[in-house]
Amino acid sequence: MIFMNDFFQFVYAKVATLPFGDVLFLFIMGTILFNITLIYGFTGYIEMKLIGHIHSRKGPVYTGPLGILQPIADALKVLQKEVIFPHGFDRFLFTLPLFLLTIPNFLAIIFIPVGSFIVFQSDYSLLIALGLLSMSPIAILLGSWASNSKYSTLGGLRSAGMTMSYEVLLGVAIASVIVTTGSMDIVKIVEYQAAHGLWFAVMQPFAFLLFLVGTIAAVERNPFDLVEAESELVSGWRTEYGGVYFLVTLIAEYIKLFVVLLLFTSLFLGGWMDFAGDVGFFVKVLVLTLLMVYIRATAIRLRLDQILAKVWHKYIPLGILNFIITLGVLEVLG
Amino acid sequence: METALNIGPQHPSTHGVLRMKTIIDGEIVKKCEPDVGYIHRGLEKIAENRMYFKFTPVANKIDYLAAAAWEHCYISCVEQVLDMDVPERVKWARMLMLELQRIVSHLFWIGTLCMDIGQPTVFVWAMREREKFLDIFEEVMGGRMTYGWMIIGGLRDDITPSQVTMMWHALEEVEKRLPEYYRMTEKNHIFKKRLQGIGVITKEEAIAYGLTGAVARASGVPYDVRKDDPYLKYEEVEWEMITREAGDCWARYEVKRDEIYQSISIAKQAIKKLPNGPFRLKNAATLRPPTALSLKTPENGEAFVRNECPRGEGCIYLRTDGSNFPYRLRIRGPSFNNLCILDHVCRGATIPDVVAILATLDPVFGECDR
Repeated sequence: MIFMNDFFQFVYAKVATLPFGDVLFLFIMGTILFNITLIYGFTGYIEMKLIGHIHSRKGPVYTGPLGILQPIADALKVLQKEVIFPHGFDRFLFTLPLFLLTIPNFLAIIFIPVGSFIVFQSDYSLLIALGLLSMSPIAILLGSWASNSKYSTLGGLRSAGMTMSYEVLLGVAIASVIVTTGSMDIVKIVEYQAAHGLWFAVMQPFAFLLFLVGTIAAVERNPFDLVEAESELVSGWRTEYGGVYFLVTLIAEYIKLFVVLLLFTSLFLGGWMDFAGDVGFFVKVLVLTLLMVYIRATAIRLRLDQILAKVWHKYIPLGILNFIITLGVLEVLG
Repeated sequence: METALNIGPQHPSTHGVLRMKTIIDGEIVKKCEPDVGYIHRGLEKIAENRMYFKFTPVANKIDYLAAAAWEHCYISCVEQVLDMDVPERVKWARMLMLELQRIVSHLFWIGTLCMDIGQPTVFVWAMREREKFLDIFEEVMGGRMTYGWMIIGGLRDDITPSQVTMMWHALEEVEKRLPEYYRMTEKNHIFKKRLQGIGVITKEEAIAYGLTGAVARASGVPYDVRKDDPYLKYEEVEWEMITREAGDCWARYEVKRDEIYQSISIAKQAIKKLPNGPFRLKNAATLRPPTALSLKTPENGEAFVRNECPRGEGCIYLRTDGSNFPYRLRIRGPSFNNLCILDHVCRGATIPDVVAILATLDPVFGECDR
């Protein structure tokens, strides 16, 4: 990863002097995004295999060695499908979510450290990253409305309802971390953890747990998968999305999962300034991925009103209490 | 703003082909009208155009998830009209298979319930345990889903000692495995939250709507045909009727969960008590082709049989006119009656609740539409 860092700095130094240098660099970043598409393959494979074993099945076995190519094969299969547009849909708003789902999530990587590789360090990187990550509910709402389908619309409205809960939850959880560190720069947060030799997961256990819940809600997986609740809304907001449109929404989901887990690792698990450096960073991301898959395989879907009640009656007051206690402790310690 | 939403007939949670005409206000269901009949096959009419022994495979397909229960219901109805008393071994063997069938059906039900409220893991596990029993059915009855094992006057094949051993092992295994399921379901407080207090049916409503089976017993109606009008050997084994007072989805879940244990117990007792002897009547062979072509039934004969099928009380009424064909065969399936209350309990619930309610009412549309 140190090598990667040098590589990208080298590329940027070369490219920045050229005309449209920044655009070119973004293009090169696009190639990295291609790698992230591979992340979809990897995360998807882990998910299929682990859930398979939890189900006492074998998971994919035929496609490639140990079935490792199964997500790619699925993607290729979906690509061959005809895209069927629903009757009376809004073409512009139907297509817009595909960009709104992918681009902000990709852009968020610029502000979130991937291991020790940091594209853009800013004093407000955490705020910007969170802002970019919270674009997807808007995209979902737009897409569901444009689909002109009742199942889609219900899914979109659920997504909007969920946003009201988990965005606040994430904010409250992070607030404690920010006041402790005194900075909204993710790098500084990581450095703070390294300087004190303690993860924020240990220093701020409540914030850690709340952020974990918020993360699962943000990526809309079990038990918060009611946006696409298969047994209720067929396929939720993406009922009418087919073919390549569906594939983009699917990949966007995995990319968001990955990006959120990168953020999670940096904020609460000490980032890369810990054991084994960058390798350790990705080990942590992998462990978090496995945790997400495990939760998906064992959790039962909540109802929207249950989520709202739980978050607003329990988690957010707890988060605010945690915030106040943090402020008090900081005041006492000076 | 109220809007109409068609759930089904092709929908992941309608367990077949049910169409629910729902009026929703946001997520709240104002009205939910079940529309059935998508797989109506005219089974009662088919019966009138077939010789008695030829209807057995069709009777299997009334409820394809509990085929043995309906096979027995039909066969015992014909036996009643012909005034036959089958040998002891046949009665025990039939009861044994009926209880195994009940376990299979309930396992499938637990799986689909969990699937509907967003937990596919238990579904796959339930399929795993069900597989063992399907293997037994294949070995003993000659089919995995539909059988044709019972014939008028006995059984097509006898149960061998090795098959009995297989059954015993499968029962032990499922008893051992069931706590694993409950770790995923009952120990998870979301599961309880999703079911408790949802879709409450009071005792009076249960009686008024003519509900039977686990749905009625969960509402505090102590009605089980196996106790109230015992058939086969249900009097000679020890078991208890499971009832609950609450009448919500959770109570229905608890009743079916405990019934699996009761069925395991009954099946084990049946295995222990299975007597030796003939496995069919001497003249049973004459009821099969080619001699069955000249079967004589009483003029104006009639018979009415009711059995406790896994989904509730299944009844068959048969009227004969002396010929080789039934004059009239009437089937009363529990799913149809249980489904009638859907609109009543769904009003005011949310869409996820409707899915849970439908799953706990446990309709099978082969039997509902007939």
